[in-house]
Amino acid sequence: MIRIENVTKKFKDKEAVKNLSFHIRQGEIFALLGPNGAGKTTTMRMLSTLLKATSGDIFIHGLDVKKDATEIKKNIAFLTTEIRLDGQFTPNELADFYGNLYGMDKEAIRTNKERLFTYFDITPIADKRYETFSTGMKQKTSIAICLLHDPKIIIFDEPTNGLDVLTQKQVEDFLLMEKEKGKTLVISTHILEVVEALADRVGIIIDGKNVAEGTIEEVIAANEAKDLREAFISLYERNHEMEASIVKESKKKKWW
Amino acid sequence: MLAIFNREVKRLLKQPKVIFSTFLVPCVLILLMMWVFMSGVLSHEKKALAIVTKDRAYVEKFLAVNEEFDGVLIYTEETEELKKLYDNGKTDVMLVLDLEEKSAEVRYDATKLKSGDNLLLSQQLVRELAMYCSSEDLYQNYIEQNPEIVRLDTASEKDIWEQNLTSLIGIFSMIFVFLVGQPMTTFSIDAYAGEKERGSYDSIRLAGIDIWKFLIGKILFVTAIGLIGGALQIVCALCGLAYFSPEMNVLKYVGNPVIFWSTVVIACGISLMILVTVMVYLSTYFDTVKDAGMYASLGTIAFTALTQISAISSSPLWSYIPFANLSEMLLKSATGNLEISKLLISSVLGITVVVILIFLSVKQLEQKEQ
Repeated sequence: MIRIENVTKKFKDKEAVKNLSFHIRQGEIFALLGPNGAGKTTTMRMLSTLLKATSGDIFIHGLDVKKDATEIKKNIAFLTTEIRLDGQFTPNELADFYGNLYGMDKEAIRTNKERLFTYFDITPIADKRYETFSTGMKQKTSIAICLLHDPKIIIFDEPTNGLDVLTQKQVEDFLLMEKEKGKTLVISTHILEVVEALADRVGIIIDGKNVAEGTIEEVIAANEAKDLREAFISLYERNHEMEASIVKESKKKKWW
Repeated sequence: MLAIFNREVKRLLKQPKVIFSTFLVPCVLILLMMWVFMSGVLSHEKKALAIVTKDRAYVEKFLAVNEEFDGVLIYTEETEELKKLYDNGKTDVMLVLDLEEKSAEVRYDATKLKSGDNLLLSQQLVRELAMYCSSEDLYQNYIEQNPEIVRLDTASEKDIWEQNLTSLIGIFSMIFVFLVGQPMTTFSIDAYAGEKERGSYDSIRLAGIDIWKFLIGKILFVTAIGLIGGALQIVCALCGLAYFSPEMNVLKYVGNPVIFWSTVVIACGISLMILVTVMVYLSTYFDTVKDAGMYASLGTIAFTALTQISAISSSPLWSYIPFANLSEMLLKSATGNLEISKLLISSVLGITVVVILIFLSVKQLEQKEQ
């Protein structure tokens, strides 16, 4: 169970996330939807303990991300396109290094490595340098390494971004398999097909604010739309316009 | 911490080009520098000599077999022309010689010649002339008139060695900054900025490692390879010295080799750690190596300036400041004049600086996660 309560994140002159609240249930795939720059990645970085919220609270399995970051890290995996592995190393070396950092024993590293490398077809290239891999293989290796410690919560930012259809399918199937094992998955994407294929529930962020939360059907019904795409566009137009007019008004006030 | 250290070692071993530029190139440069140093700085420059003597023929024969002097002018008396040449610096040394009276007087401008040079030169010249003339009295008379020559006569080898060692250690701090310090700067700024640029910092942090463990693992790695690189360079320098000037055994007169080498390891190790932690601290402010590199270059300039300022400053305060007092520490430990209390105070000061810098680096990275 993940609880995000009234979270705000301010950077120097920008409020990236504004008073955001979500509840993510255990064992579900929750998709965070939003246009570019909406605050999805910031939210996920806060969830993964890499960034601290300016105000508000985030609880993961009852643990506070601000106070219990070390404990939380043992149970989460976070992957974004910004996070990469050191290209000099082979998947085998990376697995040994990260397994060591996670505090896993050699046997656990070997077992989990074997399972993940086999699934993602990494075994034949496990002794080749990561930097020589194609985009797809790099992404699959990154996924395998970040899941090495068998975390209970998986947070993926754009998990299928830049992947070909076959690799995309392989990753999606893997995420569904993990869900079947009772793990909680939070994914962020702006590809609606991925959301429809994977998500149990969605949360929509526009300009750093939570504008909708529920199952795909609930979001469609609440916006009187035909599908998720139409509901998303409708939400965006209403909320973004509102945001724009507020900014305009505040600028006007400042001027006078 | 150990995992980070081991990872860095593996990463280094996978980059032969980096190993080449970090370890091999400085060693080759050291050998070249030793070659230049031995054939240039340490060898006596040929001096312009003027001799005032009535025994012109005898002296000419002597000079024909002596290669130490350049452009020797021989006068039968001290003319105005000779005085002008001497005053204008066209003549370095003037020798007034009377073989009949068995007297010799050597004149030189002490401010123009190196301290050891003038004594050596006059002693050497008169001694050789005496030998050439088979006149022991000439040399004895000269010594009686110049009592400081006696000291040189009995301890000339040690004086030469001390002078050479002073010159060697004098350039050591510069070598240290450029051949050891500069490559370590590159490694140090990579500690955070490089990891961040490659995108691997976040994945390491997510794996649960504390910031301070991450930084100390990196600092220990860079310091260790700096010491290995420095040790290789010292070995190369000694080999170069032994090859290019086998008669000059620099280590022969080291009072206590254990104290000397311990001082080398402690003083160089702490200086290196300060340099590394300063650069690591700088790197925490940037997310790319390019940005951090620019400021690190300025840092290297500051360190170089520090060594030079300490060399020309008369303030005793400098002798306590680690890095700045490196040359002084090494020279004193070699000549057996090391004050252990100064080394201890300097070491404690250095370690304190390192701890403060690590603390500030951790705070800076924590701030970045806010």
